[in-house]
Amino acid sequence: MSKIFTPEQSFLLGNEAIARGAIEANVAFVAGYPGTPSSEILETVAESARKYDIHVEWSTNEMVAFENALGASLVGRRAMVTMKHAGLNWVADPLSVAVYSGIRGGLVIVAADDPGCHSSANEQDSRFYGLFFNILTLEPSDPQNAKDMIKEAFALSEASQLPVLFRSVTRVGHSRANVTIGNDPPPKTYEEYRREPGRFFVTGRLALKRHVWQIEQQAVLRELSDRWRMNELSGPKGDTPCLITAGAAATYVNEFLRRSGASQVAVLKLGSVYPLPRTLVQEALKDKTRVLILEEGAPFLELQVKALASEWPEKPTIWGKMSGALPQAGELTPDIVSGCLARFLEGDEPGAASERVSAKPGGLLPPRTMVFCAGCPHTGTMYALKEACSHLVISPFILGDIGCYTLMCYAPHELGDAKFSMGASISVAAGMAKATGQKSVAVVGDSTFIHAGLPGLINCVYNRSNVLVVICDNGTTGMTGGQPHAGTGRTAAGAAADRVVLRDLVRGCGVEFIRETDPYDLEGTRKAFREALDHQGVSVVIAERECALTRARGVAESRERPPVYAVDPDECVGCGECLQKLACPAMQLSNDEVRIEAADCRGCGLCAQVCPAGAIVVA
Amino acid sequence: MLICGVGGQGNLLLERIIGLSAVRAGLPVKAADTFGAAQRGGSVLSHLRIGTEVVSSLVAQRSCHLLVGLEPGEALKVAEEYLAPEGLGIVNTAPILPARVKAGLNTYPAVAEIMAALERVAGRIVSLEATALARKTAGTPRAMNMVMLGVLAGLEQLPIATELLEQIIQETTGRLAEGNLRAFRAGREVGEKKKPELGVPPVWRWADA
Repeated sequence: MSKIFTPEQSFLLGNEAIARGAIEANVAFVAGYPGTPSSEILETVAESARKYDIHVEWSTNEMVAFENALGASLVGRRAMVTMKHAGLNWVADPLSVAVYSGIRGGLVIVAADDPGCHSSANEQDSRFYGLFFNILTLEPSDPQNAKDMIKEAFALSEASQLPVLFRSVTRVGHSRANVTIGNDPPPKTYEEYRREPGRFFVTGRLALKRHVWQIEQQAVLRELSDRWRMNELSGPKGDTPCLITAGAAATYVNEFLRRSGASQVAVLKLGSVYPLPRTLVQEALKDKTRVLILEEGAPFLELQVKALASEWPEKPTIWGKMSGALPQAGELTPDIVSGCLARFLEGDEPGAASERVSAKPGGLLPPRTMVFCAGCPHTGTMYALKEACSHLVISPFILGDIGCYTLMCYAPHELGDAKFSMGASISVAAGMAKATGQKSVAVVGDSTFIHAGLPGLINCVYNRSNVLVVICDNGTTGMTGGQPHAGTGRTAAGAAADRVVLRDLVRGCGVEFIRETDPYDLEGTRKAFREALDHQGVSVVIAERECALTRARGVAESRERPPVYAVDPDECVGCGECLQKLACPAMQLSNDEVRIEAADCRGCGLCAQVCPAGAIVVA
Repeated sequence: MLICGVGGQGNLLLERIIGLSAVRAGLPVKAADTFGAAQRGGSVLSHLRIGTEVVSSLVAQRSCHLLVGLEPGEALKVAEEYLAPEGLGIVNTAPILPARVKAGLNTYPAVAEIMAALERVAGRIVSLEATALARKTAGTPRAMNMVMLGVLAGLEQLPIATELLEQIIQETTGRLAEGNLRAFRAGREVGEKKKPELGVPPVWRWADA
């Protein structure tokens, strides 16, 4: 479905609403790196980039994206950077210095957290970066709220002369709701650039001077937060229960109160979560004896409210995650919030968070782990890698990385000793190899390699690591939805781009042993892996084959039909090798016979190569 | 309302079609899903809530009025946790084996066993071979989600006119609309036939009870 904005009610993803809000605020420069649950923001802006004269790009990583946006901001453009929470960890370095200089054009950092780790390796609460770097931090609660907030974020950034952190979560960015669209932005005009090295060229004694400036800016931030209309206090004064909430949690609170009909409850729904709007918070706490703080993530609001309350005469009892009223791990649900609120409003201790009902009814159903798509080249890569490793006397350590190929840890492959963050596979493998003398294998994707793998690979060459780096090159950033990257020859806006050639990059890092192989060719790929594993020192195998989904989209457009495979029941000996070793989604088991679903087969031919009886053929 | 299934079954498209139709019909809608597994064979769950009292996008436990199960095992998991005592489940009985089962590490229960467990959890279940019906009417199992949408329409469980649903199917599925509409209409016939024996009033009238 195309993301067409009509000037009326639309059914939008939170991320689409954020994109629209930024467009309406006249953003001129948008950069980012794909990351669930944020990717749709940039994609949506990219769709109308030309119409609104916006530069949009997928950058090689979030740090590069932020630096680009910072440059745009220095010359007066409103800029936005989008990323999942982990991306902020990359942004931290340039941000730590940028906050000493401040910015010119409004600069909004959108970080999408993932409470519950639906698609992430952790569930960090990005709001702490706001506190750490002393920048205004906003937190929307639903798609309409997100659009309204981001629209104001750019002006807030300019007023504070600092970047603004906009914290979304999965249940905001990936929720859909009716959203009212506003007007198109006016044509863009910019002030002339002024050189100000005394502000922006931060070095030596200037750094300390600028830190003093940053601390003084906190007064501006506090006033902006205090005056902002998107913090709402409602309900009675006097000694009634008091709730403080923000973000997705606010929607569960709101709905609970509506349904239960509880009216004698004061609710402070925060929009600016750092710094807190002091006047409003103090007003909320006035005469209250019992306060409950409901938030998604870590006890960020709770820490601040307790700190503020310690300065004031009001000394209510304050409950929250720190006091065990809500669980600290996992995302909030309407049930967790309802249970906690019900106890609190009845005058009980809101502690002892309710348990989530187990989804497995007495173990009737087995786990449903994720699997490579039908025709995915990673299936061939993992099959061949497993076979190649099985011939070694000592099993190599195998390190995974972040992308579709991460699924190698699940059945049927069950490969991998460890996985951490973007690009970590190469250097963790190197560390293990160095410490033990054993060969280690790092499995990393093309986009991840360009994002974060280069320094690690150069280090392997420079510090002589006994590592095989397998680059799974499927020509896309797959897991996040198939976005282009520097190696694909396409930009975010769909225009042609110069391609970075992986083989040249790898050779440029100083690697001498390089093999290229097609994962659809099991024999050839197995051979490449065996040679690479036997090699002492750094070896790289580039397993190159287009992502099955990209290919399927191309096929759908060109209407050419790739071959479809089928099991010949007369030749099939019922060994089950194909099903067990590949677990292809196009294969089903009916009446103990393996059947290939023609509509799902993508014609990779791996099953035909795996079959010992030659019973799988082109239909 | 919850729509559950396995990645690749068109779970999210179904949610989007219903949601967009509801918005066009002038109804307030909130929906949420997790789509890390959208294509890669894991479990997919879409929450869809329609009505003026709706603020949160997530359905609470034991409060789902309508469960659309694109796969029987997924339907059972979700029904156990979310289905309201008076809730209605519409379930496609064609199973999709998880990778671990294919790899020989686990076994998958017989569909009859799953359906029996479902009957114990849910008061009202409409089950059908939606995949087979999709194959028959649209020529592809991929149209199964359209069959299920049709069943919903035939049972009068959506506060949305059939004409509007068909219009949205046309708008959103372009080239594939013809086959999808055949699948949808076949599903609707099934729903219409089951409606009297089920004795279920339209959901938007009993949901607020």
